[in-house]
Amino acid sequence: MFKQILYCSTANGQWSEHVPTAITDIIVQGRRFNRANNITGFLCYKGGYYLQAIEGPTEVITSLYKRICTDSRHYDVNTLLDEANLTTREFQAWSLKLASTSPVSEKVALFIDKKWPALKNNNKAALKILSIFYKAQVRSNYYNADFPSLRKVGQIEVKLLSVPTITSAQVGNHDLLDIYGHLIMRWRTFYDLLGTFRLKEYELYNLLHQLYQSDDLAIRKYQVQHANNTFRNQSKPRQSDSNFYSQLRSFFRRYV
Amino acid sequence: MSDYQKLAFVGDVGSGKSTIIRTLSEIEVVDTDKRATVDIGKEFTTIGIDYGRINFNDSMALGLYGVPGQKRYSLLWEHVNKSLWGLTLLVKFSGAPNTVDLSECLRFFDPVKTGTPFVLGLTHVDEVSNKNVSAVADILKSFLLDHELPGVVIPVNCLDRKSSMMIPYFINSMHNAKAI
Ligand SMILES: Cc1cc2nc3c(=O)[nH]c(=O)nc-3n(C[C@H](O)[C@H](O)[C@H](O)COP(=O)(O)O)c2cc1C
Ligand SMILES: Nc1nc2c(ncn2[C@@H]2O[C@H](COP(=O)(O)OP(=O)(O)O)[C@@H](O)[C@H]2O)c(=O)[nH]1
Ligand SMILES: [Mg+2]
Repeated sequence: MFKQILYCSTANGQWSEHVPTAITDIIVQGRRFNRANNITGFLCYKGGYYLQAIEGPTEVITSLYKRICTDSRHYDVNTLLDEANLTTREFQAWSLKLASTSPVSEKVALFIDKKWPALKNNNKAALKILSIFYKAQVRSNYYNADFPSLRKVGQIEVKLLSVPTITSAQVGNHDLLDIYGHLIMRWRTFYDLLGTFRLKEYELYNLLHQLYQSDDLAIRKYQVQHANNTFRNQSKPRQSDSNFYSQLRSFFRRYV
Repeated sequence: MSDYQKLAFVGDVGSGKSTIIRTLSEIEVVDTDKRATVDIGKEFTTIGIDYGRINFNDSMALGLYGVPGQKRYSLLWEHVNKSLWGLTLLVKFSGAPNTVDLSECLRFFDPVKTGTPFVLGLTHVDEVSNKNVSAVADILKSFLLDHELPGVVIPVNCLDRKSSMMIPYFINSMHNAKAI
């Protein structure tokens, strides 16, 4: 079960002094923590105010939010939305996006006068803001994602951080490059499709195996977590199976 | 897609820009190497833009541009950073890559903003074990991710054509993915 919180607060200090370094610290450290703890969301700064959405496993969010509330880098923290028992996330592409107000500003000006605190006690407006950021996330499927994002694919939770490093034995394997290129550029769509387009189990297994078998530490750290062991019992794909690559390629061509 | 595209290689002195362009180019490269005034451990160093060209496939020729990666060359960066087809940051293999210059360079080129497919080419890997390459590639990947760039690190031997071709091929794959 997930919990999602949207809040706004007032930044401590002037923009020209503390705020830029404070934001950098928050983003860098926050991302590390959020990635490791299955938290997703964004942080937005405008005119001396922060607006942040965080979502993730209930207990983790509860304790993180407690820490955030007592953080001296801001004050007057107002909870705008607090949703518990959610089954899906809204910001799966962003572990902690430093979100720009630009997609929001024109629309937002209409009813909040560019100040987040005006969202207090205005549930409808807060939901509206959240959906504007959500749409911004969905629209920007190119590079804009914060890669180690989470995706629930059937019963498997996949974290994609980066593509495996090409080994010397793989030099010249352009099929593999094609696959990695697709993953990097279109991974969001790709995982959407894995979810909706019902891949045969072995196809999914093959693909994930290909992605995660490498000796790459960064990848191993983000192994595919099996909710159950269905896929473990299947035989591993043969590396030499050139059909595998062409199947995958045609899969991408057709569906991604 | 227009039939002529620009692929840039940006990197420190000795990272392999001139070499990879010489390896890939089908024309005589315009090599702007001049004698360096400081002893940097090799006789020549890049002070201008290297230029080469290949016919990548039937419908596209690639102009290959090599640009030094230090900030004082940002005038050259501006010259090159216009409608790039792909951007490659070349980094020479070492246990502790210098990420400060890399940061500045990425901040300038900002491939996220321009939407330019981007890869990091890790060079001088031909005498290093796969295990060490992969460890350093990991460091560079997390560096890239911290800059909101996808963690793509391609080990490349600039002296070898097949290996060097992995870079334009990868960038081409990224374009194909975009186009679908
Ligand atoms: C506006 C704002 C947003 C923050 N967002 C996050 C976040 O998303 N993830 C995170 O781990 N820390 C975030 N922090 C930092 C936490 O408040 C806290 O510093 C961090 O969890 C480390 O706590 P600790 O030093 O008590 O371990 C944020 C801080 C501020 C001021
Ligand atoms: N072994 C090996 N040597 C390389 C590689 N790339 C470049 N070199 C050598 O490193 C030196 C510097 O390369 P150069 O292309 O001039 O670097 P630049 O300053 O970036 O143009 C030259 O002697 C090259 O032959 C590589 O991938 N492997
Ligand atoms: Mg040179």
